[in-house]
Amino acid sequence: MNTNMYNSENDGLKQWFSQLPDTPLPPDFRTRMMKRIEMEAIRKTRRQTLCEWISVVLVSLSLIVLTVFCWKFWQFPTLHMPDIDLSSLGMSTFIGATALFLLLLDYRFRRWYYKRHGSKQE
Amino acid sequence: MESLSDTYYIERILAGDTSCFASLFDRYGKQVYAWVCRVIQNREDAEELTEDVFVKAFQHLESFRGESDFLTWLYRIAYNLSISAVRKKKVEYLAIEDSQLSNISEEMIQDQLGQADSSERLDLLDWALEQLPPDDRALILLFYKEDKSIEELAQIMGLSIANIKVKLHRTRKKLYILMTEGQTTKQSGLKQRRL
Repeated sequence: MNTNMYNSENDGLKQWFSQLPDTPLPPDFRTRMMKRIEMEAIRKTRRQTLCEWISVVLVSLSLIVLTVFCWKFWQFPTLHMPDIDLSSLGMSTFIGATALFLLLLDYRFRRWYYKRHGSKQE
Repeated sequence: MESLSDTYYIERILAGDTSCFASLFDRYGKQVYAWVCRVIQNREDAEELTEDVFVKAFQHLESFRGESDFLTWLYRIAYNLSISAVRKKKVEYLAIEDSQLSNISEEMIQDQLGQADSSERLDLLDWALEQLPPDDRALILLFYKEDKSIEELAQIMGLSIANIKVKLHRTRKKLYILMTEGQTTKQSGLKQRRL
């Protein structure tokens, strides 16, 4: 075999092929393709979210099963619930409600901030 | 405008900026489409297939490790998709026997294929290319038209360098036979018309 043949620069065929006309892309091709890519990106994100949720559920379930199994296997002493002092119930409810309210405020503020200043990644 | 590297765009896309994919498409879309068009010889199918190539590239962008350049990677996807699309259609191509190939020397090929002197001969090359089996056509177009090296061809087609060399050698011989036959047919056709 001629070793020179593998260097396309030295080959007359190279010139021939460079003269072959190229078929131009249809005008709306780019828009169509980018639409498909956008759809694919959305699908990809959804798939990722679904996978994350499935893994969270699976890990939680396996932890529960493991805990129950360990409990039965090692026969831990029975736990006794402490007696609840109802006198502090009002105060505890107030603290809990305030914490939840602050969390809600924080969530709303973050949403507003991201909407105004762009995506989370930026 | 300063042209940024493929790696920059790929990193941006992986970080969630999908619009950067348009820049990669603008860079390579035309080339890939023209190549697919020639390999599968049908515009509508080529459009669909080129879309599939880019969507597949987007889906598997994480697996691009930068061992080859991005265009070579795209060609690998395009090659696999095109060949399986052509196989599904079960089109029969002209078979050239091994005995025919062994009678041809490299000098004969150089003489026949060495000069690109007229549009008539260019049409003949176009016709001969159409008669070649799709994988041979893909190979020869990548080597001569897209200027890919033997190593890159090996990556695209998933073959060894030695295999690519043999395949290329045989394809050149097939092209020579087809062009010689084509020329003879044309000449006899002209003679018949004159008579």
